[in-house]
Amino acid sequence: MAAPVPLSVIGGFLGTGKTTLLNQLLNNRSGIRFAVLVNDFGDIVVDGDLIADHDGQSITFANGCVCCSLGNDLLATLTQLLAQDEPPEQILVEASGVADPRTIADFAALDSELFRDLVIVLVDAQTLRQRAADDRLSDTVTRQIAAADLIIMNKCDLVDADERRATRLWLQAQRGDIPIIETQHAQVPFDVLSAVPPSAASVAKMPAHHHGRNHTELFRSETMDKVEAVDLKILRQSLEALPSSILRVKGIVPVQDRDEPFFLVQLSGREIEIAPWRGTAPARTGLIIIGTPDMPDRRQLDQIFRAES
Amino acid sequence: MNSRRPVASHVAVRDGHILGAGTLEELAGWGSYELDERFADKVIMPGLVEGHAHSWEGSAWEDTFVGFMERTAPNGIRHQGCGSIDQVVDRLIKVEAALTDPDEALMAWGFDPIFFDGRRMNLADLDRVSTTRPVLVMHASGHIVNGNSMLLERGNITARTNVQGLMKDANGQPTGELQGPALRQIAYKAAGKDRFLDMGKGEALWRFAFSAQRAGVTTATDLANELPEATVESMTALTARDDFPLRIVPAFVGMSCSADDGIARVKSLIPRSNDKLRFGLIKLVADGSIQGFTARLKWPGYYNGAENGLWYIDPEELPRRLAAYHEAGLQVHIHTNGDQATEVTIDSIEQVLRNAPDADARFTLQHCQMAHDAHFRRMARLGICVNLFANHLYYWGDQHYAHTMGPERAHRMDAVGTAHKLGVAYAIHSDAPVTHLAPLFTAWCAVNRVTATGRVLGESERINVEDALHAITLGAAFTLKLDTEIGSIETGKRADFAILDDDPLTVDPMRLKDIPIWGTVTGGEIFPCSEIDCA
Repeated sequence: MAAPVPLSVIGGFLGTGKTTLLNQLLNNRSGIRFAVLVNDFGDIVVDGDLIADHDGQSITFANGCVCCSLGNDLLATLTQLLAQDEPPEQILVEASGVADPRTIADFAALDSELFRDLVIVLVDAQTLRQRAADDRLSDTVTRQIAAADLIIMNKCDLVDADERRATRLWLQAQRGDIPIIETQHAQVPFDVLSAVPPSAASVAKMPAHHHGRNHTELFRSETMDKVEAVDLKILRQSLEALPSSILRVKGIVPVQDRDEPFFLVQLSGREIEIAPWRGTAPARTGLIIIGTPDMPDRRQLDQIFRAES
Repeated sequence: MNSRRPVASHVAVRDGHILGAGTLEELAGWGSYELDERFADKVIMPGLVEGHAHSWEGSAWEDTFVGFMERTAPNGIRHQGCGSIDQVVDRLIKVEAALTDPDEALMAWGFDPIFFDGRRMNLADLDRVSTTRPVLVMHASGHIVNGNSMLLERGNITARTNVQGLMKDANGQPTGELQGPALRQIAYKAAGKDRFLDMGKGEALWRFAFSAQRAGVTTATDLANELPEATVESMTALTARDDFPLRIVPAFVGMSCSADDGIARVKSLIPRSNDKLRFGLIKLVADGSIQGFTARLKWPGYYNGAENGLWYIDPEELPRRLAAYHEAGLQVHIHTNGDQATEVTIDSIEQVLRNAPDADARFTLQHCQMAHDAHFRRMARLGICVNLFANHLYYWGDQHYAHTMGPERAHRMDAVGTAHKLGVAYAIHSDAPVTHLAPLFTAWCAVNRVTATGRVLGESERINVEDALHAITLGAAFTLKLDTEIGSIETGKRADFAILDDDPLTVDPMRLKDIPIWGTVTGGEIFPCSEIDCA
């Protein structure tokens, strides 16, 4: 059986930038085949040369990505996607404005062919606190924030510094335990959104390094390549020992004492997935570790991984 | 229900329509006739109109009924209510014993634990039914299911499964109770069933029609349906038959795709309508249910302190969707249970009508159970109709009094009297199969407002029998924009009748629900209940 496909959920109210974020992914040039499930195609933008087919229920992009209608039966839609000859390498589901995104992530937790990836919740820096004070919406806002593994505070260019700080503090008071990043135009580094290691991309094309000029302020990433063959049990212990400032780990590593020479490794939030790598021998092995700027530095990471091994 | 001629001795029918109602002498003026006296000792009413039911009423009966209140199936068999978890299990054991295919899942519906204080159903209960085939019991709310060990095994649901809606006992083992959409869909898949596909099957539509016929209903909505092509095909084929007794008004689920796609789909369906099938209606759902604690309430919320319910549509998106359908010329009905959902919906409609004025859009609020006088005043001024869920007063009135609304607000629920006094166009409904399909019972609820234990809720909200009969005929027809065609017995309308054994205007109002129904006439075709032939 193939490694489980990561399923990520993009939640947040109307107008918070979900579609902008998904548009960036659908039009990416990394070679990773994403499937994006949306309620409404209306605002999906296709770069002229990227569209391959549009049949009303789905848009197929020349880069291998596909955008499908969510429909009434998510399970049936997911089953169809996974049954394809070339199933997507990652699935992203756009939760409707008022949905609790956790209920969608539950589908991944219940299906052995899926891996529960991040629940990403977007909030609009301009309107978040108004919504949180609105009787009609406050508890829905709270539920969404409670469900998040990563909060994207978007439209920060449209508020002044005081407002931005106050909104961040308000969010931190709700969720001090997860990364909260500030963006404009929902520009989130590609590596944060993608659960697929670049070396596993079906088309061997590496993403340019990288998007968004304030990338360095939002996240740090460390690449640990030249990994020697690891003991999987010890690797799992190392991953479990990582602090919550680490958002994502992904990569393909050589392993000891197993029939399969390589394993795919993914950590998303607190979920860990380690599965045999079924593809052709990877162009390179190693782990990409992504976290907030206060994540452990290279030396500390080396210690965590070495101490456990 | 023709106000100028409320009572007549004869009705003349030609080509499926009513030539007129009056004396034989008056009607003889239309020309030669054949006098049919078979209803001489019956009461002929306009065919009853159920403004809020579901074709699920037909498919539900493929499964075993385990509800709390007694219910009659479309085939006429009366099923006792299940008063305890043990009674549910005993019934399922009997049904299981009669199954021949060893792999077939045993499905049940209507289970309503709100009536059983304390213990929840668990794996041990349903494992008594079978350990070798999946057993699935759907709750009345539609949002929760219980399964046996085999169902959980097929669904690969174990103690290690980590999702919110999986109920576990003190030892961390699943109890068999599965909440939320993901677990529910996994459970159906594990049982090998597709609920939505089943609803569109021909047999289910026949059962829906028979259930309606037994209740004197000649027009019923299917509110709402995704209307996949297979369903549309069986609906168009069956309703074209002379021997199909029911007119169906399906409403399209207007929120599972973009409004543009929804408009295109419904506009493509409208030309496929026929005399007994009318496409064009849109349904949106604003919130959940009160007894499921998923309705959106204004302050101070639920009486028992449960947290506020769920929006099924973003309150900021609602006016945009409403505007899109309205401006495309399509009529919209909106499910709003809690008072906050009702208020947000009225606000949205006001905004839509300000931009695209229409004095006769007939937006209709469905259920609208907690609306306050101020809401009804605005509805009257904005031309919004309401279809109130009167059956709730009997079915869950005691639970609303004790748990959901508390005494004061329980009295104002389904405020039919206020709607009437303030001039809001109103109907009343069953939401079948949520409660049983029987407009005379629904009228009885609106007239008497008595709960299952005999408590009267909101005496001042009672309406009289004439008004209740109007609500289940012309009142409901008005909300569907069909009041020129059905809902009364007068020249030019369709020859749709409910044939009763007694006169609802003269029986004791407490006996309104007990009037036997002989059958119906739809488009001049006669359908006696005694001839219903169905499994």
